[in-house]
Amino acid sequence: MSTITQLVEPTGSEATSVTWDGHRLVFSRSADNEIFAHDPATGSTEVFRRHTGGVTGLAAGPDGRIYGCQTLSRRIVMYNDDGTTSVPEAQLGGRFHNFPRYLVVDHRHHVWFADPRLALRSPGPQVYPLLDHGSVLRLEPREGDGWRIRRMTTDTLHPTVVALTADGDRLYVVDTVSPGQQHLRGYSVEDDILGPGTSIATFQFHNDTPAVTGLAVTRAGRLVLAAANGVRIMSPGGEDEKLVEIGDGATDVAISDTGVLFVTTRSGALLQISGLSDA
Amino acid sequence: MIPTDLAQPGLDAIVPHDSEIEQIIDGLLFGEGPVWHSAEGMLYWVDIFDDTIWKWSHTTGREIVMRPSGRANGMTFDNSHRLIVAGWSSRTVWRRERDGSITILADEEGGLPLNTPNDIVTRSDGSIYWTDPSGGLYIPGMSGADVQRYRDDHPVYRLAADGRVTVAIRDLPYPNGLAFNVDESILYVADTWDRSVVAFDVAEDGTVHPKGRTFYELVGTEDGVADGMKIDIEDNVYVTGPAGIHVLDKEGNLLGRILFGSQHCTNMGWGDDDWRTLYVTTFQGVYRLRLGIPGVPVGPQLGSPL
Repeated sequence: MSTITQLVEPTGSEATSVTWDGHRLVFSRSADNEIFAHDPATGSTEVFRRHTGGVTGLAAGPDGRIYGCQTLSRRIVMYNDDGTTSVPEAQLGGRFHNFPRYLVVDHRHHVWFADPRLALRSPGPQVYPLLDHGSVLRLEPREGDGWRIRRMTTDTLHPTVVALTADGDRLYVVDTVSPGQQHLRGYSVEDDILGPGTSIATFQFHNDTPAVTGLAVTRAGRLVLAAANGVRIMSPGGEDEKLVEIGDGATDVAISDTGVLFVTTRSGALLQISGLSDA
Repeated sequence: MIPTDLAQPGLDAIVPHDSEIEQIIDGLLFGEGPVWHSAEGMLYWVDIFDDTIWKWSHTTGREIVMRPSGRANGMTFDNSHRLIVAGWSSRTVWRRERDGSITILADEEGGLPLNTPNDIVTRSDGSIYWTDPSGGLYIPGMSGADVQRYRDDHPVYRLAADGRVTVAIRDLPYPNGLAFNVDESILYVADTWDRSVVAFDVAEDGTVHPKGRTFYELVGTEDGVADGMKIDIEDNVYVTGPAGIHVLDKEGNLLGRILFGSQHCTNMGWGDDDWRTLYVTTFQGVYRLRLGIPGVPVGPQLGSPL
């Protein structure tokens, strides 16, 4: 029997993304341009960053540093301990990438992010065309200085969610392949090369809302999806194992080092879900 | 013939029938910051995305002044013909000395870093005013060393001759271009988000009255925003907006719009020996047009020290 504990009250403004930095839960409210940090040990919540430029997806690196998708600015940002925010700048074949939405950082500080082509308008002159593909891309720190970027998927159309297994040997991607329909695919990762994508599940949009907006993988390899009707637990092969209903819908999920599951919601709450085996 | 619309009596004296809009530079990504160097007889401007300060004359063509430039944006000259720059990505206001070295004039106020200095103007007493909206932090490709916004406000600052930086205006949604009237008793600020020009009274000591009054509200739905702004010697106001440049009398009445077709105008500056040529930057180029009334000169004036 699972139980839901509300850690942060809803505000009416969607909590867009959440990640575990090793000590705290860091979650964003994109529309408010704010990111918060919640310490489950003390129950305290504090502002992590303001004026975020609408950052959507968040992920922690192996050292606890937080990365974010500054979607409209078409870039990934890194939040530094001294309060500054820097940009791991890189171009793909001399071109800016699209609109990053969701990301995960592996143990080598490689930043994997979903980069869909979206009908959005960035601030400033529109002089940088979109890529001619919507892919999962990866930022990699160069030895010495700077970053480079690499295209990882070649079979995705409109990827919006990515996740890696704990050992980094499997990548999961939620891809909108046709209007109102998402596919969940899995890829093996070996020597920086992806194996062929395997279809795991298909989801239908829920009242024009994407069915799945967040994803995490448990240590045992189960898939935990933030879905329009709650949190879905699936086997690595895609069999539904459990649904924890959340009335206003889950937006993202994060799993702590000790296996505790946390969820953000459309109304802006941060929840903890207990009682799930292998969470 | 310069294309105009919404013309009112008074525009004829400003826009001669026999004048043309002439393109002098093309191939830019984001033109801005036009300012005339009267001693060199050259126009300076920036291409923000190309991170370059350029200069040009019709005899020598164009040449690079500085690259990279920290995404320089608005520019002007002080009384010693030193280039004063609103550093958009460097988040500083800086001066280019005659030997080419750079002096940072301001990088913070009240302990908080600046947002992204956008446009800049000097006053005859040597003080410098600039707008500081945060938009430059979020534009793709404009990433400086630190893209964190620290301030809640979008101020207009004043740097006094003694080096002290103060907030001159705090409450505008998105201040962009700015210009003094001829006797420097009014500071006009173009507000991009509010689609307006706001007028602020200025005391003799340069202090700006904190409450402004709406001077003009932009007309039109075409491409273009309240951005760059300049004044002629009869106190007419020129501001970018939908369709091109909006020409206003000193009461804020629209005299007409100078139409730039598909070009998105960003800023303008007076130039040539008689200051009757208006140089206009767009995203993609630089244009010039001869007008009937001279503009307010920039840089050293007769009697000012060199």
